[in-house]
Amino acid sequence: MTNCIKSEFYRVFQTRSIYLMTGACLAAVLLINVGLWIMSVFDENFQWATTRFTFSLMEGYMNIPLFLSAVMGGLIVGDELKHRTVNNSVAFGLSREKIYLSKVPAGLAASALCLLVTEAGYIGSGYLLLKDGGAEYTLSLLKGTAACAPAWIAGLVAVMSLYYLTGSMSASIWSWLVIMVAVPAVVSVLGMKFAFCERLSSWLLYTMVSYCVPGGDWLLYNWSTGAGVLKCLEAGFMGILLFTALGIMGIRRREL
Amino acid sequence: MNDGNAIIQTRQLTKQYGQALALDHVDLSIPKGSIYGLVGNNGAGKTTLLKILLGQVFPSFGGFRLWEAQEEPAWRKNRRRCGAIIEAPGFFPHMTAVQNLEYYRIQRGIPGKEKVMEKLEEVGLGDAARKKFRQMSLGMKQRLGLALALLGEPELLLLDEPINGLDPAGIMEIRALLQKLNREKRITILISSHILAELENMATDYGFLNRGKMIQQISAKRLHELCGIYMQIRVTEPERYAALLERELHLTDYKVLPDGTIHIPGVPEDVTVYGKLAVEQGIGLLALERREMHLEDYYMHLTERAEQ
Repeated sequence: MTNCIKSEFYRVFQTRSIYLMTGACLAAVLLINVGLWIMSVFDENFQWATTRFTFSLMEGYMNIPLFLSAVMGGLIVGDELKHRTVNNSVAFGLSREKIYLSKVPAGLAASALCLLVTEAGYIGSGYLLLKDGGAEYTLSLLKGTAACAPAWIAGLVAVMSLYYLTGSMSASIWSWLVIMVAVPAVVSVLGMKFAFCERLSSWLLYTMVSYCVPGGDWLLYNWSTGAGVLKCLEAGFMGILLFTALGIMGIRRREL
Repeated sequence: MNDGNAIIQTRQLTKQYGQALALDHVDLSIPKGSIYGLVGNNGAGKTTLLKILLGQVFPSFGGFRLWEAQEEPAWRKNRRRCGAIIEAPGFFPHMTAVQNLEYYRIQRGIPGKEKVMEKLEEVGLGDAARKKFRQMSLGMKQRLGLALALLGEPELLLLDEPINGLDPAGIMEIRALLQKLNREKRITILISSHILAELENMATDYGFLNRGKMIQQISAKRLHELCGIYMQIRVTEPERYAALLERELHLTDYKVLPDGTIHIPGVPEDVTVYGKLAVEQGIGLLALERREMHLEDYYMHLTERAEQ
């Protein structure tokens, strides 16, 4: 298993797309802060050039990394059924479970790299270019990141699992969108009428990372309370386990 | 299911895709140390057979023995002693030849980074080591596939049409390499092809597959006896003539075909002996010809018979 994981790390970190994606994410968040800074340079009364605004803004878009996790998952599996690279591993006698499971740590490492670089760049550039709005907003952003991370990992594992279940990258992305986005949206709407759906909706990953309610002069998210953080973590870890099991089932049954 | 000398032995191996039978109760035995040529037209079931042996697809019925292993996970353990190319070689397109092999070297836990370059040199890809897989020609991809197959110092090579896309010089080079590996390292090789000429100078044993059925397994020695030069005789009374061949000329390895034509392997010093035998016994001689049967002809006869 160790050799399998090592080989996946070797491959993933030889993949230019991973670095390009990290660079693109960093560029996007830098653009936000640089844009706010430029506005403040040209307009003295521009009130949004603060870390409070920019970090709160990002906290409201915790669903974006969920979508990015699907892209990352796609890069990790590298369409290997199409390229038949997994066939070589199976032919060599590696168990299909090992092959699948070895991809998860490599995916996590690549995602962590992307997240760390992006968030460090975002927070760093925020403090460098914008007016300090208070440490509580930075902490809230970091808390939100920690609470949502398992859900993002579940998103990553989901796309990998769906790839082995469906056998094609496009089918896995479409089914991911249905399972991760469309179903929670429908359940959320039904939740307005049925209490069961409302309860179910609060456990679905997309709702978990998107949900917010007005709370005084800022917004309250699921992770704004200690119990909420716990619920986010629980839902995320359940998602990881569920999708990992599905992935193992998919690769076990797939004829190559 | 145990032929002591066999490295692979299948028993009633069957694979069904929907209504289609890709493999139909195939019994096959590959002797240790042999170069086994698996011959069959496109769609005969060669790739399916190899894929089952390598765990890529699952059999619908029957089983096989790989060394002593008769089921998972023992098969998996013994697959580590194999090298394989199935269909077109599969590699990561954005990675170079070296990176692709290095990935599998790490995955297989093969010690020594230098092994990668060694294998690339061995298959004649030393100069293309830094070339990305997607930029390689078909021939180069095949060579890279072979380098991967050889990476773990295998005892058994399973090669599915390995010289597809190679130029004539490349074909000779790879053939020589495989023969050398078989001779010097005693590597058993199962090589599938639909081009018999590819195998003719290499295989020590043959298996002929047709529409998923194993129609014959034969040693190269026996096959060359059956092919080669022969006399074709047509007479008015083939049964009586056949009996005379045995009684008067002490021949036993002749063949009487369904249309009455008689085949006698080899050519005697005096070919008139066959004519004289017929005439002296009052049997009408319709034709007496010296003929040569190639492996292709043999295979065609065999498949025609199987179809009938």
